[in-house]
Amino acid sequence: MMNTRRRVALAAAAISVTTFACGPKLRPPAIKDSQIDFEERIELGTRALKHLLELQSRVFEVSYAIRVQGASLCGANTAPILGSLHLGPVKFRGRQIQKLAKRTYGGDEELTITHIVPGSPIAEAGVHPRDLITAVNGRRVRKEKHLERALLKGDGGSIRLSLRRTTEDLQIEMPSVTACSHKAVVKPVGRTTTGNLEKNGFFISLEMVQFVESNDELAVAIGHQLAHKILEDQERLVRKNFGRRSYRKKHLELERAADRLGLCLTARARYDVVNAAAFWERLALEHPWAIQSNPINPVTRGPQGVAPHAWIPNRLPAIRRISDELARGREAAACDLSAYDLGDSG
Amino acid sequence: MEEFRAAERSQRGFSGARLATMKSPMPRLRDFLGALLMCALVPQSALSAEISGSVHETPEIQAEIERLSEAGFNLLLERSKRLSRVSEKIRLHGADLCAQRLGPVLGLVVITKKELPLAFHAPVAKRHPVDDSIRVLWTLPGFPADRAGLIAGDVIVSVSGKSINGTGDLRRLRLKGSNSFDRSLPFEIRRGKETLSIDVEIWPGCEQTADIVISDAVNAWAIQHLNVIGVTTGLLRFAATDDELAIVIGHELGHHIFFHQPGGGRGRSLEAASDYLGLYLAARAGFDISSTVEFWARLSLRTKHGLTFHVRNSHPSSRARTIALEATIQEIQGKLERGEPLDPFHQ
Repeated sequence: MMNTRRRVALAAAAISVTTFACGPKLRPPAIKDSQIDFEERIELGTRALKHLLELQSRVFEVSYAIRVQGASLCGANTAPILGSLHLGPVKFRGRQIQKLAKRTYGGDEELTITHIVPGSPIAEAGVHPRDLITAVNGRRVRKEKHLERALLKGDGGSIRLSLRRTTEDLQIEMPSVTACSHKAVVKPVGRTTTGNLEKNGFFISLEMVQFVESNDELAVAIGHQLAHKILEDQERLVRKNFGRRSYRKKHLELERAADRLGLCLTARARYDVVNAAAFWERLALEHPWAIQSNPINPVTRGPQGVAPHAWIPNRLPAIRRISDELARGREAAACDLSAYDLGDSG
Repeated sequence: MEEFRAAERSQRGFSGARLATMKSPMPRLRDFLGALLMCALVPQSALSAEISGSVHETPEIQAEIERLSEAGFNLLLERSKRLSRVSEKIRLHGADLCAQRLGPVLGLVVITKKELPLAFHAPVAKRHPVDDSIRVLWTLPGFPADRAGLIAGDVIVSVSGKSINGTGDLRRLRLKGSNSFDRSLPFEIRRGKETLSIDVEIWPGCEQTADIVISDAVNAWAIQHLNVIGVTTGLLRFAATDDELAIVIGHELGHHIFFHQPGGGRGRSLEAASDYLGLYLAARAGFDISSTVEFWARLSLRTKHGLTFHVRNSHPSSRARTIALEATIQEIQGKLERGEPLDPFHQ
């Protein structure tokens, strides 16, 4: 059978040699670049933007719960929070998408609300997506940073919000909610990972948001990175002691502490932590460099830098133990920040 | 210490290369191969000092590492098998479209220490010795290597008298000149202590083979100078069905075919031609191409450039492209219904 097939293939190959040289050419349906016109650009961009905002909203919703429930662990780094996502924090590369966002949602001057966290005070006050925030606590706001500053100037008990809905102006008063001031941002980095940002905040990579299979898993990743942020603040206080330790030891210790505190944060926000170990394991299996090798050894760490949330010795059993305890309602050990011996000299 | 310094230097080399790769996928693959090379080159003693430090000693930790490496290796092996299943079929059925650039379709998954991530040395060592030889890990059922009786663990010593020293040598096997009318390839195999001569039937197919690239990015490339189709583990995760994987492999093989055509075109016109040929290639191998439009649309929202609507997005799910894809699908399905051969040169 194969001989026939082979002969046919070779004969056909001989024919196609001549075909390629002088015979009929391939005629695929023609596409020209100019065929993607301005109108279509908007259409495609809007589709991408919608998807992006969906991802952003999902991350915001999960991180909102974690930040609010974990406020007591964030020490001085807390601030009043609105349960709304605005066009402001869509920080993706390319001005084109920013312009598109403005086009789609309007609001050149003010902050446009793109998503409201269900159950948050702002949702209960009846605010909808597409409303514009014009002023907070009597201060005019145009950008996200204005909003943050204005929220801090409140009296602590309530927030006064000025909104514009189509043409009418609304005044709303609602109770203030305090949360950790570290924000979660979605960032395309090409790797399934999370990381700290320089200022108040951390990122969840686009790939990570697409990798997680449920909001519980997303909450585990967000909790872990928020824990890193909290520990970083702590560490800043005790840097002197850390200076004497090796980088590796510090890395391992911080990673372990972030696992513990992260699970506490996740569980406090009422997300399921039972499958946390399974989630990290699934992630580790995608990165062979994360399994056996020392994640911070430059030789074994793999081609893409430090393996994302690499397996560290005994990590998964430890996570399993902590999540079991948390699932049984015992959160004291993991959530007691003073028990984290970051200040001890090593 | 010297090793550590060397490592530090190489680390700088890596990050430099990594920055450069933002623009093209090629250095990223080089990076990847380079890293594997590094793993192989570093003396075990240097590593064991790092790894068997105080933290790695308890039996529980060892057991955990073992379990994870095993699971990770099995995952990679399953993905290699899947890639091989789909790509070998497409290569075989696309033979006459690949003109004179033919190679034997073998249906082999091989490994060598150099290209095996360090973490997977242990799970492989349980089955076969891990060394520099080219070892068969799996054969695709029903394909020449399997029919000739090659089994997992065999070491490929030489093919047609030429010694095989790397997976590249196996990839470079071509059917041209003197061997283009042969019926079989003489393989020299080492199985245990004996050396066997096995004749493997020649099934001519497109010469380009598909390889796995371990990366989170959802991407695939036609790497011209290596004659390889690189498919990331991210893409294998994303393409839920074999049909979807076939669409991508067909498209990339289409690129390879067009590289060798005079005036093959550039940019999106090249993409259009590869779309066209890719669908033919996938359909010829018996894959269902009806989900193509939906698949590319979904993919364009998964990639960084697609999502940020960046100019570098080479595969926009544009109206024109959608129309072209739909027209091609209709053309192919029409031919299938009428029982005509799937020949893209005759509409």
